[in-house]
Amino acid sequence: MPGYTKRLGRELGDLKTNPAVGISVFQADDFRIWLIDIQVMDNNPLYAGKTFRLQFRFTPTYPIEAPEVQFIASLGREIPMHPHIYSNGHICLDVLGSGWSPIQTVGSVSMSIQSMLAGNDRNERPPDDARYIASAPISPKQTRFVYHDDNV
Amino acid sequence: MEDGRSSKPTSCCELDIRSLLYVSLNDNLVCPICCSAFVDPCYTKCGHTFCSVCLYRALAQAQKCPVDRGPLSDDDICPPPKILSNMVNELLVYCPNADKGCKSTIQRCLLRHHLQDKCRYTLLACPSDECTELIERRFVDQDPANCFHRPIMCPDCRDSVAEFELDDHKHTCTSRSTKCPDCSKEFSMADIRDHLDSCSESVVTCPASRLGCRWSGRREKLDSHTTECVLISLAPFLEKQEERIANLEVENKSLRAQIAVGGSSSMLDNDVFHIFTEHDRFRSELERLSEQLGELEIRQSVMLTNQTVRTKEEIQNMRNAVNAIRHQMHFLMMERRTWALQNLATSAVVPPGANAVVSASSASAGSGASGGSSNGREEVANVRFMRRDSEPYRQDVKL
Repeated sequence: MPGYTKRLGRELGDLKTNPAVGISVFQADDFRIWLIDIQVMDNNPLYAGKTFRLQFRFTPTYPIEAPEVQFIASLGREIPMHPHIYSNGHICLDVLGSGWSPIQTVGSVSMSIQSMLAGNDRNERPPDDARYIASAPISPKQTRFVYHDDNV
Repeated sequence: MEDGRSSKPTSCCELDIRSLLYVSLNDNLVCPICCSAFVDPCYTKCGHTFCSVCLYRALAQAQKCPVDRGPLSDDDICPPPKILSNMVNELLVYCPNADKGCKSTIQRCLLRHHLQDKCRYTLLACPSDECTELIERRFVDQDPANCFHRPIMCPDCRDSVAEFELDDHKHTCTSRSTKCPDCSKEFSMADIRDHLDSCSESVVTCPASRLGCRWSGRREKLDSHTTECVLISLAPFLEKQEERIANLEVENKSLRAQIAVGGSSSMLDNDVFHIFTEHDRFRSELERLSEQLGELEIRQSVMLTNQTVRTKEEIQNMRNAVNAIRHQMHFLMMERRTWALQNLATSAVVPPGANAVVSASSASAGSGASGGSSNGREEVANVRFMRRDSEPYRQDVKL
């Protein structure tokens, strides 16, 4: 059994026994793709009452390399409005790219994204949304995001 | 040759050192990268501990400490304190053969020894020279010369079964017959289970025994009991109650967890808390400063208007004074000129240059004396002209 599945097994056990508030595992049938549902717990009017679905895609290099993380839309699950989230679900967040550290977990990344949503009050997409999604790679990890704005 | 064969199973358990199940594991002894107990730990100069393998893999990706993200190179890594190595080596683990039946718990550093020499469930090469299969040690110990892979015929179902599998097969063989302990009839293994559930001779307890009914008797008597048992008639109601209680317990638990999270989040992290208070302090400071700034601005603008008004008044005063002086000077010059003319008339000797000047001015002065204000303005123009020559920068004062 490769090392990364061992670690993911532990993470899954942790997520199921001590779930963080607003974060739940929707689907984790294998060690390739997990779907995590997140809710923003404070009363942010932009996201109140909504649930969003994150997709984690793992490779055998996990956790040394970051997983691919993006929002996916499905029935009752939309892509949240945020100045750093493109309408195809790609997320511009440094901890998913250059800021990744192997001690991060699915739970901690979900929590980062949850707090990124909670701190937002702008009901808008990134300024270059249309241009980006027209030419975006399938995997968000192939995009070299420029983390230019730390305010949001 | 013996060694080569027996090394096969032990080498596969060495591979799985991270998947061992620990009897109990302190979180402080868990590598943050692989999330299992440290294996061959190492120590960074910033004070964090990882498995060596994990840390070197992480450093190959990015030369920074995975925990604090500070710069970190291979030279900044040193072996851990002896006590840490000892602690992780002495952690109790379950034998990897637990699923086969080994009940041992061993210190991790002794596990290899246990698997190689002791564990009855370790796979060894079959003692028979012809056989290439592996066999658990417990069989080898029974008969060190026998090959347990030899097929044997099951006496009941007549299938051929390897000898070492015979014990397990006996429990599952469907053709084997057995006796019902209650009614003493013979049944095959396949049917005995069904029979035990329906044997009229067997002693059963009341279905409501869980609720406190103490009745027990032969199954054929059960029907008559169920019609008169009070607890059975109460059962549906009690079950519904139980279900509700269970639901409430679950809800209560989740609410309690929420409270705990809410309570602990305020002191979640001392640093975060510190940052928040600091933030609040800065915000109030900022508010105070901006208030002060506004006040200062108002005060300054008031002062400025006051000063401008005063300056304007002063300028007006000065202008008035200048005008008065001009009038006086004008008056004096007129006086002087008339006086000079009178002098001229009386004295005959005058130098020719001076004469010309005086005559020119006397012409105007003469008409000025008689004509009044129109000539006075000409005079003023003259005076102005002279002033301009000498003090051009004072021009504004006169306007």
